[in-house]
Amino acid sequence: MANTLTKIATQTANGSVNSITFSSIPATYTDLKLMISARSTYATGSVDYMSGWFNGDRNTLYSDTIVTGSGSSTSSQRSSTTTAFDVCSYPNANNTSNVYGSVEIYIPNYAGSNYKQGIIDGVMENNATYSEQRVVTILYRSTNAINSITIYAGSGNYTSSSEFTLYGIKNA
Amino acid sequence: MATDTPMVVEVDCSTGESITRPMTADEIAAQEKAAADFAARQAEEEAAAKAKADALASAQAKLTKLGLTADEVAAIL
Repeated sequence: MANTLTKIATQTANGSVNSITFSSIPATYTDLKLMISARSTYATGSVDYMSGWFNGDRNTLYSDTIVTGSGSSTSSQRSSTTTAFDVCSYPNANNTSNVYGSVEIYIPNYAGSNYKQGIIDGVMENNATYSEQRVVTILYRSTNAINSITIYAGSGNYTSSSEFTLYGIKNA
Repeated sequence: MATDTPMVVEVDCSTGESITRPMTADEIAAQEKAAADFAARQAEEEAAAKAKADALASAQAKLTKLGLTADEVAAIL
């Protein structure tokens, strides 16, 4: 049977919200994939960042391991028993105009009864002199099916044209 | 943080409808905690990168004092 990729929902920000939630996600797929193209209105420093929750759950059930590379430096960090999972840095208002960060979040077996894992691959760049890639593995220690995902901006709002699209994958 | 009450867009995947609402106090508190955690993590990353760069510069200087050329130092490090 052929694998399928189906768009479940998409949301474009309007510049006045700093959190996007996809709720009532159907449990009829094998995996989920969330694609993000985002920029922040935050005007301090050079980046903003995104974090997330599943099922509105803000208990200390998340762990993540992060590897970051900028071409001139690399780093790796691990956090455990956190109240949210880290997603990625992304451009803010002090970066080159109209440059957006790109992020993919892949969640296999999101409706199963085991703990949930996720893979995040994100790119932050200013389309000039700096780019950074961040790979994050996340663990959500819950046996509940994931039926909602929230991705929130750290300090600013998502600019208009920031876009979030959730896909379901069958037969993965 | 944004100066106004942060707003959330909720997309109901079963209907395709979306609503915009203010964040709850609980959500704001959780977000602020995550922001603080992120800032601390960024500071750790920057400190680690600086320590690594400082150690590299120190090693280069010591090898140069031993008489190695710049190419030889680069080959080692």
